[in-house]
Amino acid sequence: MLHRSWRSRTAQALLGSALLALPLGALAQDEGGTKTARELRAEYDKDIKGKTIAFLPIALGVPLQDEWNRVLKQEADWRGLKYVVRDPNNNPAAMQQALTALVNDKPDVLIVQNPSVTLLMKELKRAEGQGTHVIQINMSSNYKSDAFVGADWVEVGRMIAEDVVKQCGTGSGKSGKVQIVQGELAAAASVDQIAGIMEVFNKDKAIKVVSNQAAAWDANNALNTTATVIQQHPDLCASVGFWGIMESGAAQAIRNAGKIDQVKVYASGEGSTLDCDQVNQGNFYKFLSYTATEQGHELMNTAVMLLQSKDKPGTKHLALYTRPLWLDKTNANGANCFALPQSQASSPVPLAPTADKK
Amino acid sequence: MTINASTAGERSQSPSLVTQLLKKPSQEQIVLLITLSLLVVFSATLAGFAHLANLLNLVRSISILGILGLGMGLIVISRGIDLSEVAIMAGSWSVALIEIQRGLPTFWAAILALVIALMIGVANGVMVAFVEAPPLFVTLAAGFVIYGAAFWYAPSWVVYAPKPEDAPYLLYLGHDYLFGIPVPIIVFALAAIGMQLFLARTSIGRFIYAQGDNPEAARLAGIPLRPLIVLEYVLVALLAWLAGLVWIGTTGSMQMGIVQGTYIFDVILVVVLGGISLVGGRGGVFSVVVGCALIGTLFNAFTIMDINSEVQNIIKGVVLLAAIVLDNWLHPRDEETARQGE
Amino acid sequence: MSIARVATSMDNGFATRLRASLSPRLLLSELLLKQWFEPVIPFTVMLALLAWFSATIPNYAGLENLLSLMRLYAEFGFVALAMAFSLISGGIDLSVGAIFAVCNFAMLYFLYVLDLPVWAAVPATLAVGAAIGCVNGLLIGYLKARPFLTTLVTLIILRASVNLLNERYATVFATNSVDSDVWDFFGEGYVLGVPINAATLIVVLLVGHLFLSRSRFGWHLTAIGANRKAARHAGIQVERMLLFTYVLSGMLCAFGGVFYAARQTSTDSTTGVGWEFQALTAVVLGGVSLSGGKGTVWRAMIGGIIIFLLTNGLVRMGIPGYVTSGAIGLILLAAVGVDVKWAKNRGKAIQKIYVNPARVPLAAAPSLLRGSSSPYAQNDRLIGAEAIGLDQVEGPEDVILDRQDRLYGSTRDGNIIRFSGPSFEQREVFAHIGGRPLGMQFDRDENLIVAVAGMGVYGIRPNQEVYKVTDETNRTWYKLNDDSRLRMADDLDIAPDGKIYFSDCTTRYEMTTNSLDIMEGRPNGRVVCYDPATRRTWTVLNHFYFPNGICVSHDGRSLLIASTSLCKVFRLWLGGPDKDKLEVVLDEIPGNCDNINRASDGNYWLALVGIRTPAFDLAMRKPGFRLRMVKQVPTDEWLAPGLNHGCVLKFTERGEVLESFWDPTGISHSTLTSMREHKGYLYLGGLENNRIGRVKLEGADPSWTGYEAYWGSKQRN
Repeated sequence: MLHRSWRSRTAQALLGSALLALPLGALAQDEGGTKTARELRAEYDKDIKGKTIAFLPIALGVPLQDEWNRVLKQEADWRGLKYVVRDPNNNPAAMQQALTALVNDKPDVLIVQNPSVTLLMKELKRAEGQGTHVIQINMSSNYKSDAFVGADWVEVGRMIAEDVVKQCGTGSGKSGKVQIVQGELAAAASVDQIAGIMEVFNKDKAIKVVSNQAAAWDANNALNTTATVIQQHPDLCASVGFWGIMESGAAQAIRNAGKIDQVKVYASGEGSTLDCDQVNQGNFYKFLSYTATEQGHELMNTAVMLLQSKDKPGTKHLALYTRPLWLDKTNANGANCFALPQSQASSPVPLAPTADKK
Repeated sequence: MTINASTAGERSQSPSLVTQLLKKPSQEQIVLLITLSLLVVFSATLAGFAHLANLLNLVRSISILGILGLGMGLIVISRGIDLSEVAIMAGSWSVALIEIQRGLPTFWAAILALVIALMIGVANGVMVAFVEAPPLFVTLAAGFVIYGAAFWYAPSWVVYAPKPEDAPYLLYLGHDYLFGIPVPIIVFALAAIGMQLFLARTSIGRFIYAQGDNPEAARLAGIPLRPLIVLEYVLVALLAWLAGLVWIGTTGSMQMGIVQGTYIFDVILVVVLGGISLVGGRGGVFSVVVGCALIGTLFNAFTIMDINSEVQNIIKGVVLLAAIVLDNWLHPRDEETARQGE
Repeated sequence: MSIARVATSMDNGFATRLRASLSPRLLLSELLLKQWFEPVIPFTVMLALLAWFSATIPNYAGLENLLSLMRLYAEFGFVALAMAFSLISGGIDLSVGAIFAVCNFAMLYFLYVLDLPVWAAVPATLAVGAAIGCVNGLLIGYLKARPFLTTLVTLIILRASVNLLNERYATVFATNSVDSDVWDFFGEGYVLGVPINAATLIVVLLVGHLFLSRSRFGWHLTAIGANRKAARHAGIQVERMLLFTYVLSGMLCAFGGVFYAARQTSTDSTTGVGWEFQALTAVVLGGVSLSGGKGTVWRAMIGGIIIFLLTNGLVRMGIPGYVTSGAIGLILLAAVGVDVKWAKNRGKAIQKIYVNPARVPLAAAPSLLRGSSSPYAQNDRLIGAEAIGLDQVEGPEDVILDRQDRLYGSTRDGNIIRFSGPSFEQREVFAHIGGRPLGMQFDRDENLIVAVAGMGVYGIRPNQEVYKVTDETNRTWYKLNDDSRLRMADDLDIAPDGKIYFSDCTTRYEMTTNSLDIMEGRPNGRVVCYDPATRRTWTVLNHFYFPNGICVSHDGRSLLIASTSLCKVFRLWLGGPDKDKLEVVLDEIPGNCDNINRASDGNYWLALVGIRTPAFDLAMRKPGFRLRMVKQVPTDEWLAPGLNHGCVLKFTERGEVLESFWDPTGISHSTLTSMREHKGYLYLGGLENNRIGRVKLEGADPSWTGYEAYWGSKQRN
């Protein structure tokens, strides 16, 4: 079903060369604006319509991936693309199998979220070898595919660290004690983020990392660790967490210790309303969002670009880094926070007085 | 385990506890000794470890694990296992919290969570008792189903509880202090005392030991095994619900992701570590407590020392391995009396 | 008579007899008994999943996809197999996933960091797996640690170690590369069109199967899992076997690791995560028992494939992850629920459908009217029979006399009792064989050959030494039921060339339940021949209605066979122009015939164990009635032929009945099963009798003995 015939490929190649000439033609003919626009659209439709985009996240049901999925689906529908998504539900073996099957189906563009730098490498290479554009999101594997879209983890770490230094470093008059709550030590995103953070911290003698622990993306683990840390270091200055949902546990521990106004809680993440709520409730001092909604659009733009470029897959390595966005109480609202998907189930409890509260 | 572990239930009455301890400590006593010596070592070497506040924090950090462990301990004593315990906790409370967000009063939401939990408990119990499917399998599959259903109902990785000022009673158990002691500790203590009384002093509790020791003999003795099994799974679900209540009070949220994690391993670990044997009928509430104490002590000290979590795991594993080796070295099992599958 | 004709046409031809021995229910009951049929539920689930995904996912059943699935599955298959072995040994190995991850890392480390050649790296990796398994095995086997807790702890340690190592070496693996054709072949190669890792798995499975089911080690492994105490008492080295099991488990995981390393060249914190529980689920689902001692490699694979297909197929259908999770849970619950009920009720189902009565239209029974001209007319000729060894024998089914006029009886307690002396007052146990000795005959060397129900055919030398003649025959290739064992050797006779012909009256029941065979009324029996010259045993006549008495004719050219359930005597030609032809000699017999023996006048004696009644004859024509009877009525209240009569007939070779001897009271000689003529007397044996009877025969040759008639001067050919 996903197969493209050889003939349509040739046609595309021809159209591609025509496309390159278009801007010139558009400049020359002011009067034919409408016509050119129509031609442009026709060319675009020819390149895009009916093509297939496959999306393979680590799992759906997580705010970040759900938002990517929502944006991609919305855009694909509007652009007339076929959109396929597979949900391996955090099972790496299932993810491999799903990828193998997707690659065998030969989609035009494949968007993959790597769980590690090596796991999917070989299949991604095979996909590009057979003519599928591969876009990697938020973490590149050891294979450089056509495009990478996502946050630069070193930069994210550096940005947070710079703010922490501003708050706790030399001259701030604070203790300079910092706690770091990682997700998983082995995750590449964690490794890069730590690299960025330490790069900045090492420049300021006043900063002391008193705890650097992994909490397995679990708020309760983060809470237990942080409760001990705040116990041992009542003068803690800042807590940095690698994921909003997990760091909310750390914030809770600090709040339980009555120190939420003293300890600056930083977190990075996708920037859903959950994160914004934490900011607005004062649990997070600042939140560095890598804007999942924007990333979703950038993924689609990249895909469209790749489809229109007509280059053979595997010939270039585009990189589109997302601009991280600082959220604090002033701006943690509206378009800066994306909404979570709503339950498909209606309330089974007739008692629920839904009307009076909302 | 050997014979002296089988008398775990009556240990409190035993007059020769000290002599018995000196002669041949049981597994839970070994674990207790290791824990105590670790406490001494850490108190001497780690600044800030021996503070009362830190020790309270240590116990608080294992309260939820402990409450779940009590349920798991109960079911393991009865020769079952419940791998869906964490899923029951997360699933029932996710739905309840979503309903709170939709406007359900917190009291009714708590009741809703309780009803869901108990219904799952009944379903597990019926599958084990009446369909006679292996408990390991039933509860593993139940975990998948609960995860799927709860996610369908509450499609988000995490559901936040209302703010403490909006739902003071709901969050009280996880969040507040009573006489300077964190309430989760008190909840764990009460649950443990209640479970101890139930297991040691009620006839149903003794029936559970009887069932775990020899189900066939228990049945022939006239114990209604099937209703008893259902009751056990309902009790596990009840404790899962209670643990969830403490959990949301503590973290202010419920995270479905923990169902997929290794949390259930930790629960099983504290249970079997303390001497509750998987073949049933052995160990008691105290086993769960000492198991939790060892894990909590290690975790707390590791956090103070700021040890890399993977290294933590290795050290934890080596300590546990030492406990296993010590136990088996001190009283090698007599294969003539040991039960099959132990 | 029309009924008689039907009967005649019904039981002669092999094809008709074969057809009569078959029925769907019967086939099913025998299928249910097969051990390989036990995992039928998981097997069906596996096929159903495959069919379902083939129908819903395009190209799923295509060769390309199937090969790709095999490649993806193989490593998990190794891990599941490792789990299966540990379960069968009565333990559990929760560290399989972690060992797999460590071995995957080790393989990459050996190749990419130490630059070892592939031929060295592979054994080194297997050694790593074996070493880790060895640690588990030492703890569990020699320190007697509890497997669940021990392997849970090793899982924690190994997992953390491999994560630490990964962090350190991830970049090295990423930047280096190995240029080796062998390595590429391990990752992407095919053997005979099958992916290399799957091909290896198949070979390992075959070896594993032979190991587990055919080798001493495999039996020991199963034994320590089934009953460790008994295994220890039997002298099995439990500690060593356990060590070996966990080493094996570690090595199998290492196999998985090697192929995964070759295929993926990836090591990270997700490698093999959660595989311990997936593998556990898989093998338990396949039917490997959690309590040990039960399971095959195939069952482990069936379970593994189900788990693999479920995740693979559901994810590929593009449904949300939580639906996948819920669906997997529900399918597992349903599968295990059905399987448990199946396992529990299989035995009951077999019991319910094992007996399959068929319609047996017997020929009309002749009149027994006392005083009539019929040769069957009842008389009192046996009432006055002299009792030998009264209350000293326990059911002498067959009686025989030797050249020294000593009398032998085969009794219920597994003995051959010998009476000697002028009036047989001297009793001794001639030999103890065991089983239920039935028919007897002396061979040329005066060895007493005995058919023993439940054991086969045995011989007793004159010096009282017991030896086995044969206890199995060739298996019927088209039968599900393995019928090579002799279940109920009943009577035997010896041809002039020394061949022993004997009846094995049922292949579906035992001595204690043989009345069910009569109730079933199907040709389940057979006539078997043993040739002492070649020591070969083979079935001469298969699918025969309860063959009982066997007698080689006086001329030695044919065999007379009595069918108890059909109430007929047949002749099987052993040679001559009609060789192998079966014909009816005696039809319309008034009772259920038992042993046949030679008479001094060239005719034959036939014992009737039961006397037909109209009610029983009717029951034989009503299979449904008999089925309800055997199911709903206790055995002692079943309808049966008249057993409180004793009757012996004499008939000619052409099927003419000459006379009959009756004990209509049944007090001294009921259920007569045997009679022997010896020097003018007829000796009587009965299945339930407490004596051996003797009557004087008027006008019989006073010098005629059985031995002389077979091997000496009284032969008639």
